[in-house]
Amino acid sequence: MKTFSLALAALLALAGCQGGATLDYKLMTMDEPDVIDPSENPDNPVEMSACDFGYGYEGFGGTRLEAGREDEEVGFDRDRVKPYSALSGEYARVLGKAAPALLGQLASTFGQVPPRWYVEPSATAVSLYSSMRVAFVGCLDFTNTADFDAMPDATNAVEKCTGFAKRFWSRSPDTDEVQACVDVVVSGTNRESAARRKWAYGCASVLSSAPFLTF
Amino acid sequence: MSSNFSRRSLLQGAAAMAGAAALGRAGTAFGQSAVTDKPALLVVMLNGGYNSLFCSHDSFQGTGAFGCSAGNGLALGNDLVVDGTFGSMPAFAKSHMASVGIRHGLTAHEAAQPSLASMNGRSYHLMLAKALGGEAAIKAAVVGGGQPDGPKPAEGDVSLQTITDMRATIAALGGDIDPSVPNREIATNALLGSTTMSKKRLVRSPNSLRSVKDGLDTGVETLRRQGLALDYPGLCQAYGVAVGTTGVNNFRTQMMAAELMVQAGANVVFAEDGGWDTHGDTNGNNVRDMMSNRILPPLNVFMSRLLEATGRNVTVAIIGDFARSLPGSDHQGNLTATVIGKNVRTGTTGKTSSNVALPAGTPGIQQFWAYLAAVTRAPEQIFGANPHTAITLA
Repeated sequence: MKTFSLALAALLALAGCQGGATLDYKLMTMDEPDVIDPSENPDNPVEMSACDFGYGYEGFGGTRLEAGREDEEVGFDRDRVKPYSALSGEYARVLGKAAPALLGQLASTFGQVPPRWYVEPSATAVSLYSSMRVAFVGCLDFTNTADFDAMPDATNAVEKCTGFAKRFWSRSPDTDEVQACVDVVVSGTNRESAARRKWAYGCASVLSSAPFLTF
Repeated sequence: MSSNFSRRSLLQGAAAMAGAAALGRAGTAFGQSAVTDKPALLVVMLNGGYNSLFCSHDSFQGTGAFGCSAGNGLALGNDLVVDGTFGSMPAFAKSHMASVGIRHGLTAHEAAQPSLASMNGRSYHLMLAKALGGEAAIKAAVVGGGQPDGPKPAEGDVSLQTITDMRATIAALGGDIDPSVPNREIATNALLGSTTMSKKRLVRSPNSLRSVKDGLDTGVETLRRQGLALDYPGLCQAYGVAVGTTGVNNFRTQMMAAELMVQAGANVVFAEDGGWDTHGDTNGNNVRDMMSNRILPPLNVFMSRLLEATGRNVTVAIIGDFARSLPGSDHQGNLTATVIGKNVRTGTTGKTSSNVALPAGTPGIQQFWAYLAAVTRAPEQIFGANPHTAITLA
């Protein structure tokens, strides 16, 4: 029994040394710099600490001008709706052709701002639906090639939808975003028989989403 | 079916039974709405002010202020005397009109405008639109560019939707046959897909992109509705607007768009007209000219088509920042509004003195909205009790 106790103590001491060595080794590994995935979706929420670098200014009545301001995390609430004046160029850029003429007919729907005035752009149900109409017209032209003659299925839709997103959003889509587009072209277009028009609906759904219509 | 709908249905059912019981005893007043009528409120905001010569005409007949005399007033009964310009209104409007006093004590545009539209950071328009319930996708709409002042946060699923183009609205509501318009059912699926793809960015920017979130939600619900049987050419003809006109950029097209939204089921529609800060208009000629030539022609069309419509309870409220003061037609610290509708009893709680003042004790802005809630038959007293019972049909 005494011999067994000594052996056990020696084994535990040895294990402790090994544990310490392992811990040191892991710490050394964790000191290495992180590898940043270049395809990381910038729309994903990220944990960033807020910093208060602002100066304090005293206003009338001794009130601090910054009083009442809310500190937010960096990158929070910074996205804006693209103004109507930018959309023509944006549609042309991503579709590779002139923007659909329909866009010009819907200027008042998007709240075109008079010259020398600035109004913060905002969206409405009607303007977003009109965006869908404009996108659909543009996508009918965009998908009017032999590349879109195959009927969409769960396999080829992933490739095409990924292509739409990369082209229109200038980034790789996440799996759920691709799936949303796949659902549109595969199961959401049952009433449509023409392959190219099915693809056009999927194209329009990607082109009518916030990653394109906002910045 | 949502719980809200169930509750509203229950309330409507209870109200219907109560109404039926009351009918058995005394019947209802002529022209009064049935409890099941679809409610809608049109708020006409005259930006700058609303001269009390229109709604308290007899207050100035003695002094001749604002060009008022016995010869150009119009007595409608129950102590209500309005300006003769209102004589062009439909007969039903003139028999269901009241002047409502609002003693808000505000003489600055910057204070009066947001106070008339909001309360404790919430929008009166949206609160009422939410309370009135219903199944319409767009329950609160602004026709034209002018917005109600003050905060306008969404009330649940009810947000303020701006209508600046009628053709697009008709297409969105399914009332137009246009070959370039995508199939409604597929477009619904496509917009649902867009909503999913937008999710991360909308979470990251919940405030700056709030209009996108509200618009997508409302857009999907709008597309899910069945197409409406809208007679667009007939609408154009009634309002004297050329077929093909698209922009909502004057009061005539605002009224046409207002009817469009009421037909689509909106509960509250807001239309603003500018140019009513009429300093120096001591004889009232300027405001009479604007009322006669710009406001009343299309508003009369709106009222003649909708006020008596079966199954509807459409109410019209004409307001401004405040009344115009004497002697210079400047800013008066109170307002008398005009309200017209099936549940309005002819009369006045807004008769001013000869110097445009309202009596002490006249209710304020929130009570005015309590009155609007009462005549639109909101199921709950969301703004408190209605103090203007004398001009409310029970």
